[in-house]
Amino acid sequence: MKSIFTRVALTLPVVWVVVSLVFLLIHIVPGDPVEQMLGEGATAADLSTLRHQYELDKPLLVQYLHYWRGVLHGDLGSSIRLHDTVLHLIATRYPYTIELTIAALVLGLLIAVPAGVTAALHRSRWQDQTIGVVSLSGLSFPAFALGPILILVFSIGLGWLPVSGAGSSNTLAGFFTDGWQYLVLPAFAMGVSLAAILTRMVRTAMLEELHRDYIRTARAKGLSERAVIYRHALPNALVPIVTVVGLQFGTLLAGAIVTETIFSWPGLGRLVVTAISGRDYALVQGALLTIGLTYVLVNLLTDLTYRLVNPRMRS
Amino acid sequence: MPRLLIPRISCLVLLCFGVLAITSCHRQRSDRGTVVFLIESSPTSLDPRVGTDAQSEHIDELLFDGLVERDASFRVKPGLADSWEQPDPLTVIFHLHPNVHFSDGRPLTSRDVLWTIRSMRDGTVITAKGASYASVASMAAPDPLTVVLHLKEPDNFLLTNLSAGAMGIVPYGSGRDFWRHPIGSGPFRFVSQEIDKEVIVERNPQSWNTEGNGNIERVRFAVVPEPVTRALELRKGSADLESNSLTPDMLPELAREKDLAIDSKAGTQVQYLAFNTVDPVLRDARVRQAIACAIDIPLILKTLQAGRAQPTVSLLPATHWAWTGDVDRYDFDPSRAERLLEEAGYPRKAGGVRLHLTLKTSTDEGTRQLAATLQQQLAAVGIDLDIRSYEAATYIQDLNRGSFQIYALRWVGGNEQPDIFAYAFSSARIPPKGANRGRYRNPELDALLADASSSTDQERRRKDYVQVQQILARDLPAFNLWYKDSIVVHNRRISGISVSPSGSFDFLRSAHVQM
Repeated sequence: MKSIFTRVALTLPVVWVVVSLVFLLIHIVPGDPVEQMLGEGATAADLSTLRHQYELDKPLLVQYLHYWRGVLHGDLGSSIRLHDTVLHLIATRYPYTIELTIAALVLGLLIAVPAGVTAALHRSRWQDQTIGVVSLSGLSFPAFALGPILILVFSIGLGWLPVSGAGSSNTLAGFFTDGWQYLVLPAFAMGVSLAAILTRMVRTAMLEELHRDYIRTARAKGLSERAVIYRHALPNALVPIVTVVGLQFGTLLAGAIVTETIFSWPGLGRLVVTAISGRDYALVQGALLTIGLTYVLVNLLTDLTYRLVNPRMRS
Repeated sequence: MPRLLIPRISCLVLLCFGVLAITSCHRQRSDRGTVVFLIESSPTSLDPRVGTDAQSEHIDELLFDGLVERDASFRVKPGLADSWEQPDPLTVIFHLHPNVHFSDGRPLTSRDVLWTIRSMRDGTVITAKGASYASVASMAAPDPLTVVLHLKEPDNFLLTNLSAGAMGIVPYGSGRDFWRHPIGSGPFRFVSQEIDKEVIVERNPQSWNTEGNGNIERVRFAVVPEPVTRALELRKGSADLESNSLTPDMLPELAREKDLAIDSKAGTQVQYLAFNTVDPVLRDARVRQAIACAIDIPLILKTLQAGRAQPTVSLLPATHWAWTGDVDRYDFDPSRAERLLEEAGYPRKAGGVRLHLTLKTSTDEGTRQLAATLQQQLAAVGIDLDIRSYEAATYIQDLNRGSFQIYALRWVGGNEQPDIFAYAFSSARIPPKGANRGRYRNPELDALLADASSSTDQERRRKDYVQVQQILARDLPAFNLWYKDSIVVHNRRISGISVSPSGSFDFLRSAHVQM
């Protein structure tokens, strides 16, 4: 438990550094958020009033201190472009991104674990080679290219799934009526590259485990092949995969921006992109703080899971 | 061979997923009474006093009414105000249409008109639009149907700034949070909005304006940021229409779809190149004219624009009352371009290069393609063009600072009234006071603009603006390339679409949908 707290304590400064860097960088890049919002016809008085309202007329250090004071009080400020609180905007958009990322992760695992195990059990045979070629294709296909192809095949050609959007309702009931259909293609577009990476890792890890002494001992004791593979080899092979999955979660979050744009998925990624181009300082900072904290949380969960699946860590 | 349990379970789950997808066979349309209209981005604010982006203005035009409207020649005509009079240059009296109600049932009176203008000027809402009413000294509402505006100085653009699209009347007391649930008196009323996802509006039964007899009861503006995805949504039939949001190369493909139709009209958006007139090379008008002569516009229109644009000689739309075609023209003529460059003192040097110039563009794909084409065409007359693309905020900041030689941009909407000439070329309107980014200075032009601005004689103003257009075509601080056609791609179940040159969604009033 103590080590978990230590780990959290070590990652929080990373969040602080990231948000501070973003704060600094977005303030020094060209582009004035107030001019962006009001447009070219704005009077000097309007510009000045809005700058004052959003405290953009204060020195950078004062703005920085105010920002962190707000963060510690649960106030991430207001979006200058969308006229809403950053907290509300993130609260409405982030669940979409999390939903998409988790779906991609689950889909990736559903493909990768059986494919990796099959490839390992049929090493150097046609099954292994086929899975190798398919996973290489998955790795080589970026989401921006795969997305339109998936739409053409599954939405236009076969008519099975909607082209884009997120369904008519945000509720759980809405998800089960039609919401899930909107999730399939973007989750697949995102999950394919993850599946490709994990398939190779599962295969390698399984091969390593299958050649260990305890596997030979298990077989010598007369255990069934199923028990040898699923009770002994696979759990041990999955230990390093857990860490990779944790790390990949972050990569998926970052990759969600492209997928969200292609599939009109109203997640946080799109919000951040438009916020950056509109120099919407508070929204960019708030979104990156949220993503940073998610990393910390996912890392923590990865550590906990790692302890659960690795008996040596438990001891 | 062991029985592979996990692969089997996983395959079963994936199979179930697939079967579920196949059996559900996504419904083509969940509600055929709702028209799905694809837009590129969420409106930034549906408060008509605040929103200045295209989506906000187009949707606001459906939700709100302006005091006046504009006809095809961009002259004002009655809107909420049945009539108006100007007893002297400093007084305007509007007579409102009786029995107008907001969508929540409240009557719309002169008090609401006064509030709308006042709230933009007293800080109730912070908006760039407030500057449009700077000439108003005081306002009065002698009765519920009369509005009197007293002006500090004559303002020829006040009526345009009070027209639908530029401004909409909001209920008295509407504050900063009005955008969350906007209430207007327009042909449609607001239902809901989710940022980056959709805006839903429905027919306003309280609407007083019976113009147009369409049967569209409900519209869902679905936010689809990617043009390819928008085209695919239309192709599948899961969306009904879009307006000016597809790239020209997609149109021939969509035209082949039997369920889709493409309606278009000459538009008002102008694509142009602007020159930095204080740049050591470009301050010579002959260099600017040479560049204009070296550009093969018909070829670009045929290829990059797929024939969906028209050549232009003025910033104003060709149907505008102040437009003139009697100006210097720069048809594609490479030999004239070479001659002008020779006269300006730029002979061909080693490698055939006469001079090096830099063209700044945004990251917009269409503009970058244009830049690449210009690079090739200018190389033929010895101009080595370097292209630099920047993301929007950095790009505009560079332009406003005068940190460019040539830039490519579009006028969207602003060029529908002749004060665009002062805004873009008056020596008093160098950024941040306006958009004279090329730092063009011409006292003769300034005098004509001042006269046109202060005169109430329409014919005199027209003559002034004709001369302004002639001077600008001669000096060429900016070279107008083409008007982009206004295009609506729609499912054939929607009919009666009258495309607006400015790209407005106003046709939804009178369009019909087949249920």
